[in-house]
Amino acid sequence: MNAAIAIPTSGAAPVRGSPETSAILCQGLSKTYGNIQALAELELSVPYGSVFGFLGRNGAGKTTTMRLLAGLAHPSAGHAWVGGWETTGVNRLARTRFGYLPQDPAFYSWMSAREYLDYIGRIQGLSGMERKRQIGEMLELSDLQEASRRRIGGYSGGMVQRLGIAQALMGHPPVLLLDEPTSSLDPAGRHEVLEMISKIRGNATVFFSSHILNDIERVCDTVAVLHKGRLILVSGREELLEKYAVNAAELELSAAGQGSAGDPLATFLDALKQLAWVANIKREGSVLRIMAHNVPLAKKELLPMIVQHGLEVDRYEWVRPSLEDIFLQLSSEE
Amino acid sequence: MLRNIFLKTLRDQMMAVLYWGLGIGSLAVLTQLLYPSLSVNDLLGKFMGSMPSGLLAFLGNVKSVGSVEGYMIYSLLIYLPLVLAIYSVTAAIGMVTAEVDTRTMEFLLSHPVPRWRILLEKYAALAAAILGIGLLIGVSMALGGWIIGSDVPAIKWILAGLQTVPITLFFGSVAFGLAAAVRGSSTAAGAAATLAVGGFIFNGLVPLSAKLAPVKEWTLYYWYSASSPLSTGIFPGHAAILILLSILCFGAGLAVFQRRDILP
Repeated sequence: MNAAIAIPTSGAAPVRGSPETSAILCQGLSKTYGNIQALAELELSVPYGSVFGFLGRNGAGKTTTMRLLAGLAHPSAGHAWVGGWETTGVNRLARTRFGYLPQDPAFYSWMSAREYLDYIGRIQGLSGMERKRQIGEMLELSDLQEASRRRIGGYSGGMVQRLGIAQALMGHPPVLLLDEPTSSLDPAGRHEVLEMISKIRGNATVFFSSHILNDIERVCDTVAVLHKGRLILVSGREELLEKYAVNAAELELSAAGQGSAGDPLATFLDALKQLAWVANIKREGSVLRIMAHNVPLAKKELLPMIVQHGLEVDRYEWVRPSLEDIFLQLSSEE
Repeated sequence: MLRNIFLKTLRDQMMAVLYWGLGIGSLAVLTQLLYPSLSVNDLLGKFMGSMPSGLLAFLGNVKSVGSVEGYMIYSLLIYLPLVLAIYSVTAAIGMVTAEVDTRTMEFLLSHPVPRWRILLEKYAALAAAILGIGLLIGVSMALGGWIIGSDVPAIKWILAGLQTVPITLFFGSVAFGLAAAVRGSSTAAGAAATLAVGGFIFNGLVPLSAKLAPVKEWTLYYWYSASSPLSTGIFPGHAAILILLSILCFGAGLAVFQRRDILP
């Protein structure tokens, strides 16, 4: 069985779950193409209401997972439930529980966004009134009202992706599966799409695959890392960053007031060196980098000491790794 | 026109139906317009009479090329399914494989619509498009008949155009079924084209050899050409066989499509 590093979180990302309580649940989900194992015994539970980042390099198995969840491909083994319905079966009603945006989506270029959303609404069997209401809602959410009667063929990449998310939300599914929604976009397009995802937060569970770590870090509250078809980590974003945090604080200090006797920074350094939790100190001018054995104790004692020594804090931060640092570390460990 | 997948697909085919229907219809009218000058002194009859019997058999054993009906069968209708197969095969592949390849199919399949319904509506649109082309060809021939002052009733010309529908649908169904069942378009296009061309050649060869005589009634083109509203009259059974085979091809493709992985 695939052993993911499950970091306990404050209820944000339970690794175990049931189809009833999880927005997405995968049990032993596997897919092979010929001799290639694209996905190996995926065990995953995505809680309702989360924006869940599904992270992995190209070829890690993210799109395979998305396709299995969306029912576009059939698993070699295992099962998956989305919104309480098994999507690896043949029940079409399971598809009422999620909206799906494929990687590099393509639309009928001659249609307008309004026509396309209307077409999707009709296919879903929505009534005329409901269709009209939802089309208006989706055009507003995707900020496509002004372009709604233009041919999709003339849309920018960001507009196409936003339309893709809008069509996925038709029918108000509780879960949204977004496969690399930002990967082919320029910075402006990425910003627009991430903004849209942020707006959806709270209205639907978003399962968002990407290899762009900044995007995941920006909008996701929970992160799973897939590597070579295997799940290697599931964690709340903050807990993850905390766990992999470098035990170092960076301070930029200056002496408070004029006429202080001697070098107050040097006195402060001498005092720090006496503390048990201090592992190492580096000084470059007014900038100190303090490595700590015991971060919680350091956080508790450091600021009062600065005040006690009559220093002013220009900058104070505990060095945080980026998700990219963590991801690269995890990938190389595997 | 965008109320459902059937109408949307039909809308996609509208221009192609018009071009194919009116294009071949125009060719039919042009062919008919040549008839009065060729029929003078039974030039065609004498020309056909000079041909070896084997070649005549290959060309469909048209009994009387001197008549406008025989002339049209010999000069156009006998090979029309081959031409129309180009449309039906490409349209069928476009409806399935092209939608998978361009990933528009993924959107359709991710919504709560059964796979069978998506495919059925597309197939129905293919059948309707082929019917439309057949009708346009038939109406064009009726117009041509009227222009040259033929005493053949208009309904016979229209039925002659519609006679191309079952066999064209069959070739389209082979392509459609394979496109639904197999990834990529080459298998579907190759198999359907081989059947269309190979069937035509085989049908022409059957009368040339006594050994092949027992299979005479088991060739695709026989079920198309053995009955004609313009000569022998209509045998609905022949059209029924072709339609039944078409439905079988579609059904087989559908059965695989239901469980197939959709990969661009």
